Amino acid sequence: MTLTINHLVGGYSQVPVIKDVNFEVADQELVALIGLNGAGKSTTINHIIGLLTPQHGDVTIDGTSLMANPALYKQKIAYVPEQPVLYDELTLKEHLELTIMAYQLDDAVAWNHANKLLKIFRLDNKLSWFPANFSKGMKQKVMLVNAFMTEADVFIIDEPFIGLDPLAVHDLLGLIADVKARGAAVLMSTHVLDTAEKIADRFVLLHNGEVRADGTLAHLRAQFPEAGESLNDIYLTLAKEV
Amino acid sequence: MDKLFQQRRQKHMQRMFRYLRLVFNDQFTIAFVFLIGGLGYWYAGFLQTLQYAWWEKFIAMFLMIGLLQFGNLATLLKPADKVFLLPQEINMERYLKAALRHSLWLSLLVQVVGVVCLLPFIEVAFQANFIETLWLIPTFIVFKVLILYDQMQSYYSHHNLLWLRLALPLLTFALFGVRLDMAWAFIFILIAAAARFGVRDKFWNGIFDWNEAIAIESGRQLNMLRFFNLFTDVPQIGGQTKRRIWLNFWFERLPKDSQHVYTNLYWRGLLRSSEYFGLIVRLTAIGALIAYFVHNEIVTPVILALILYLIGIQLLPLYHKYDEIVFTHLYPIDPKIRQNNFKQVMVKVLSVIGIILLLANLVGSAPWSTFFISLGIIIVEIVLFSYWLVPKRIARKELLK
Repeated sequence: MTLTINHLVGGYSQVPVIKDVNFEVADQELVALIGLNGAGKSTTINHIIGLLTPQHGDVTIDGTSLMANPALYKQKIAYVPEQPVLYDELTLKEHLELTIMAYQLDDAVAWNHANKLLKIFRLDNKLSWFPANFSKGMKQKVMLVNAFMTEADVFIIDEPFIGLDPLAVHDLLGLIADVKARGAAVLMSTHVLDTAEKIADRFVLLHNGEVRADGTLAHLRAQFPEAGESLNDIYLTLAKEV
Repeated sequence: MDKLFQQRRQKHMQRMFRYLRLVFNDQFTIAFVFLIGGLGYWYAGFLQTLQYAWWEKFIAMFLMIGLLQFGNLATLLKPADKVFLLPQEINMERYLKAALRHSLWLSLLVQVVGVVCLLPFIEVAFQANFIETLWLIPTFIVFKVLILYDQMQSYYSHHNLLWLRLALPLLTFALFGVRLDMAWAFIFILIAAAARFGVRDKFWNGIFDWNEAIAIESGRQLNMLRFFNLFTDVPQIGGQTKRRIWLNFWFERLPKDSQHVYTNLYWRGLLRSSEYFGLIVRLTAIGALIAYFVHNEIVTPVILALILYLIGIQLLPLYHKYDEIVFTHLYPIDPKIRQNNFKQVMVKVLSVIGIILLLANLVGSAPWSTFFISLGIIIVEIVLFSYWLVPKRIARKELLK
C-alpha cells in the first residue's frame, strides 16, 4: 500500500503553512518525517489523516483519495498522536471495543491481537481502569495498542519516542518491523534523530513548509557531502543554511 | 490590606456576574419565572388550606434555624496567601473586617427575603399576629451579623461555632417565639449580641489559622461554583468521571457494531460524567417535586414541558463533547450515523425523565386530566425536540465552524 502526497498546499487559514509538498511512503517502508518546530510536520500529518482540507493537491492511499472516498480512505489509516487523547468516560477495555466497532474488526481476531499488545506494554491487568487517569507514558501505550490492533495499511505515528520508557521504545520498534513485514507503510515524525537514523528506510526533511531533501541516508550524504556523516549533522547544516 | 481586599472583591464580583449572566440566559430565565410562579402558586394554595397544629411550631423552628445557616463569611483567601501574606499576619484583622462587611450585604438580603417568605407560615404556626411576626426581621439581621462575626473570630480562637449557630437560635425561638411575644426574641438577641461583643477582645488572642481559613474559603467557593455548574459549564469543575458499575447492565445491552459506535460513546459520556449525570438527576428531582405538589391542568404540564426542554437543551453540547479527540474524526463512519445515534440517545433519555415526572404526578394524586395533558405534551415535545430541534441545532453549529 502506498501513501502518496501530491502537490499538497494547506494549513489552518488562508495563509498556507505547507507549500507544494510531495513525497511517497511505499509498502514495507518506514519513512521518517523530520523538521524543526513549526516546519510543518504536524500540519502535513493533519492533512494526511483528514483533519484539514487541502487548498491544493491531494493525498491518496493506493489511488483512494481522501476527498473522493473518505470512509474507505479512513478505514486504511491508523494514527498515533503525539499527545495522547482519550475518552474520559471510557475504560481501557471500552476504548478497544470502540476501535473494534469503528473499524469493523473481527471480534475474536482483534481481541487476540489486542491481548498480545496489552501484555507487551504491561497493560493487561488494567482493562477496567479509566486510562484518562494514567501517566503520559501509559496513555501513549494505550494509543499504540489502539493503533496496532487494527489491520491498517498505513500507520501515521507522531513523535512516538518522547515519554516512552526504553523498554517500550524497544517494543514499539519491534511492532513497526512487524507491520512493515506484513506490507504496511509507516510514516513517523520525530525529533529523536539517532533512533530515526537507525530504523528509518528513508527521510523526508521538511523546512518552512517545503520538502528540503528526500532519500536514504546514503542519498542524503551524497547530496550534501560537506554536511557530515550522521543524520544529526546533515540536518543541522541544512536547517542553518536556509 | 484594605486595598488588597478591595481588589479581590472586585475580581470576585466580576467573576460572579459573568457566571450569573451565563446562568440567566434566555431559556433559563423563562424557565425560572415559571418555576418561581409554580412554587408561588403552590405555596399560596398551601397557605389557604393551612390549619393550626401543634407540630407546625417545630417545622417552623427547623426552617428558621435552617435559614440562619445560609450565607458564610467570604474571606476570598487563596492558597498562596499563607506564603505571601504571612508577613502581614498582624494586619489580618483589618482584612477580615473588610471581608465581614462584604459578606454581610448578601447574607442579610438572603435572610430578609427568607424571613418574609416564611412569615405567613410562622403566623399560623406560632399563632401570632402579623405585626408581632415583623419583629423577626430585625431579629434575623442581628443574628446573622453575630454569627458571621463569630465565624471571623473563630480563625483565631478555634472556638466552636455551633453555640451561636444552633444553640442560641434554638433557645431564642423556643423561649420567646413559642411562649411569649416575638418582640421579646428581638430584645433577647440584642442582649446576647451585646454580651458577645463585650468579650470580643478575648477572642482576638491566638494565631491566625491560615490552613483552616483557606480550607473553609476554598470549600465555600467550590460549593458556589458547583451551584453555577448546575446551569452552565464552570471550567474549575472539570466533570469527574465515575464508573457506576450498577449501570453496566445497560452499557452491555448496547449493540456493538459500526452502526452504533456513537451510541456507545454518548451513553457512557452521559451517565458516567458527573457533569451530565448530575444535571439530569438534579433537574429531574426538581421537576418531580413540582409534579408531586402542583396539580393544575395548565400550570403543571407547562412546567413539566419546560423542565424537560431545559434538560434537553443542556444535553445538546454532548454531541460535540468528543470533537477535540481526533479519533472522532478518524473513524471511517458516516457523520449521519453519528447524528442518528445521538437522536436515539436523546429520545431514550428524555423519555425516561418524562416517565419519572409523570409518575411523580400520579403518586401526588393529581387528577387524571392533568396527567393526560402532561403525557400528551411530553410525547409531542420529545419527538419535536429530538427529530426537529436537534438536527437544526447541529446544522447551525456546523455552519458556524
